[in-house]
Amino acid sequence: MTPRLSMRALSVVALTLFASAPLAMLVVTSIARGWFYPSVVPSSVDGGAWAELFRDASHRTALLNSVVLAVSTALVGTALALPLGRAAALSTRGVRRSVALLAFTAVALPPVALGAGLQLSVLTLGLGGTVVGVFLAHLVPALGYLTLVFLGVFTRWDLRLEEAAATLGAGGLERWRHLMLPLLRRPITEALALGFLVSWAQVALTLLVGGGAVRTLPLDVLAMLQAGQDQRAAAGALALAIPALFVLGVSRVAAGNTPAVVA
Amino acid sequence: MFADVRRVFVFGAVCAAALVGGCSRAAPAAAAPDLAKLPWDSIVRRARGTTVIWRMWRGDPSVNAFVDRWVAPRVLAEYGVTLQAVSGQGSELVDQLTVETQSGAKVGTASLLWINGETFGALRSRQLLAGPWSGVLPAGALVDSASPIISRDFEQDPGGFESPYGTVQMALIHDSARTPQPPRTVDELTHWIRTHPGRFTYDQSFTGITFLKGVMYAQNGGVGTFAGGYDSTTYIAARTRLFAWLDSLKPYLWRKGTQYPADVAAMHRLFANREIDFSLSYNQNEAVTKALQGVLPATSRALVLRDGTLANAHFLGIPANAPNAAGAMIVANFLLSPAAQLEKQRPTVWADGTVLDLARLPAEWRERFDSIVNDPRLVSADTLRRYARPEVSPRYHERLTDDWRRMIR
Repeated sequence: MTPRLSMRALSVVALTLFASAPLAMLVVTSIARGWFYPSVVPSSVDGGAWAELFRDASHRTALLNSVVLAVSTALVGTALALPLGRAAALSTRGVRRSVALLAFTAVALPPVALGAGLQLSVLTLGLGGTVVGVFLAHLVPALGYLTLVFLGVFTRWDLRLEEAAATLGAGGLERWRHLMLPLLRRPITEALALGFLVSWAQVALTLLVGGGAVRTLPLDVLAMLQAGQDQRAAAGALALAIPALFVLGVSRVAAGNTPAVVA
Repeated sequence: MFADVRRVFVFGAVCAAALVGGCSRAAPAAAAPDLAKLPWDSIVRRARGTTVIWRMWRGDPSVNAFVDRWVAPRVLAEYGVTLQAVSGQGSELVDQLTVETQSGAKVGTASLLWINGETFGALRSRQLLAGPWSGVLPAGALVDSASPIISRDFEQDPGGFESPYGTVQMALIHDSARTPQPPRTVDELTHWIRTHPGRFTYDQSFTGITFLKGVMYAQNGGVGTFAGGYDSTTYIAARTRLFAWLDSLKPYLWRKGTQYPADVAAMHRLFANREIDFSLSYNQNEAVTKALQGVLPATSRALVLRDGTLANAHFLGIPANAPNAAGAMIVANFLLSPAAQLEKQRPTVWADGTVLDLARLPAEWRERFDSIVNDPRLVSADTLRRYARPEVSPRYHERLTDDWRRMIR
C-alpha cells in the first residue's frame, strides 16, 4: 500500500468511527441498566427502555405527532415553496431579493425569538396547544429553507425548455408531468427530506407554540435527559435518529435516479 | 409570473381563513368559585364526560406512569373524566397563562396546574388562579391541616386557591457501601468536605440553592429567624455568613468550586459514576426510587441533616381561564383519596409523601401506609418529621439564587 493510499484508508476508518461511535454509545446506553464507573460492562442489560418507549401511550402519541408534523411540513412546505421560489426567481431583481431576505429571516432568526412571536400569533388564531398550531409554526422555518432551495434552482432555470414544450403543444399539466417534475425530481426529493428534518428536530417552536400540550419525540427525549433517565433518553435519541437517517437515505436514492440534470 | 405568486397568496389566505373560521372557541365554562358553592354531587354530575388537561412537570417517568396509567384510568372509570397530563412547570405556567389572557381568548387550555411557592404567588398576584374552591372537596377532610408544611405554602395562605396533594423533604443522597458513616450535621459535613477534597458539590438549580438555604438557616438560629416575611437585614447578615462558609470550602469542592453541576440530573450522574460522594434531592425517597430504576447505585440511601431540612407541599391549582373547573376538582379530590395517596407513596411508584393525617384514617388504611413508610431503605417517618422545617418567604430563595450567581459562581 502506498503511503497515500494508507492515509486515505486511515481517514475513512477515522471518519467511520467518528460518525458511528456516538450512535454505538447510544445503542449500548439504551440497553445498559445501572452502568456506573468504574464498571467496564453494564451490571445488567435489558430492553426495558425500548419496551417503555413503545408501550407508553404518551410516547406513542409523541411519536405519532412527530411523524404527522414532519410529513405534513415536508409536503405543504414543498408545495408552497416550489411555486413561490419559481415565481420569485423569474421575477424582477427587487422581488427576488425581498423574497430571499424574508426566507432568510425565517431561517436565521433564533428559534426562541421566532417562537415567541409565533406563539402570540398562533394563540390569537385560537390554535395554541394544538397540532395544527405547531404545524403552522414548523412551516415558517421550513418554508424559509425550502424557498431558498427553489429560489436557487429556478435562478438557473432555462425557461426555453418550457417554451419549447409549449410550442410543441404541451398544456400546463403536460408540461409539469413530462418536463418539470422529471427535471425537478432531485430538488423536490431534497426539499421533502429537508422539510421533514426541519420539523422532526424542532424543539423550541414546539415547546413555545404547543405549550407542553403537543408532545413530540424530541421533547420527550429532552425531558428524559433533564430527569437523568439516560437509558430511556438513549433509546429515545435512537428512535429520533433512525427515521432521520432513513429519510436522508431514501432522498439520496431517489435523487440518484434522476434521469436528467438541471443546470 | 406574478400570477403564480398571487395564487400562492390567495391559497395561503384561504387556508388561514379556513383555520380561523374552523376553530370555534368554547363558551366560558362555569368558574371554580361558583362551582364550589354547589353540592359536591352536582359537581360530579357536571364533570361526567369531560376532559381535564393537567399541566404538570413531566420529567420523571415514574410520576408520568402514576398519572397516566394509575390515576387516569380510575378517574375515567369512576367519574367519567378523561385526564390528559401535559408538560409545563414553574414560570412556564405563568408565561403560558399570561399570553393566553393577553391573546383575548376567554378560555385557556389547561384546567389543572401543579404549583407551589413562588409559582402560586406569581399566579395569584396576577389573578390567573381561580378560587376559592378547595374547601368543597370531600376528601379534604382527611388532610393534615395542622401541619405547618401543608397548611402554608412558603408562608402563603393557600386560601382555598390551591389544594395540597403531596409533600417532599430535602435530603442528601449517599452510597451506603461507599460512605457507610456519612456526616449528619452541617458541622460534620463541613469537616467531611475538608477531609475529602473534590468529593462534594451542589447543583446550581433549585435543589442546590435549597440546600444552601438550609445551611443558611442552620447557621443563623434555624428557620424561625427567617419566618414572618422577607427581611432584608436578616437576609444580608445570614448571606454574609453563608458565603464566608462557601468561600472557605471552595478549594475542597468538586473541581475546586470553579464549576457546578447544572441540575440534579447532572449531579446524580456524577454521584453514580463516583466523581462525587453525595447527591441532593428535594424528595427524601428519591435515593431509593432512582436506585430501583437503575439510575443510581443499588446501595444509595437518603439522609436528613439534624440541623433541620426543608420540607414543602405541592399543590393543585385551577387557572382562572380553565375550560373545565368541575373536572379539575374531581381530579384534585381523587388525588386526595387514601387509595391515590397510598399508591403515590410507594417507592416503586413515586415515593411522594402523603398530605393526609394518618390518625384520621380508618385503621386498615393506616396499616397500609405504615407498611410502606417502614421500609428499612427509607428514612424513617419519625426522623423525617423531627427534622422537617417549613419553607419561608420565597423571596429568600430568589435573593439567594441571584446573589449566588453574582457572587459565588
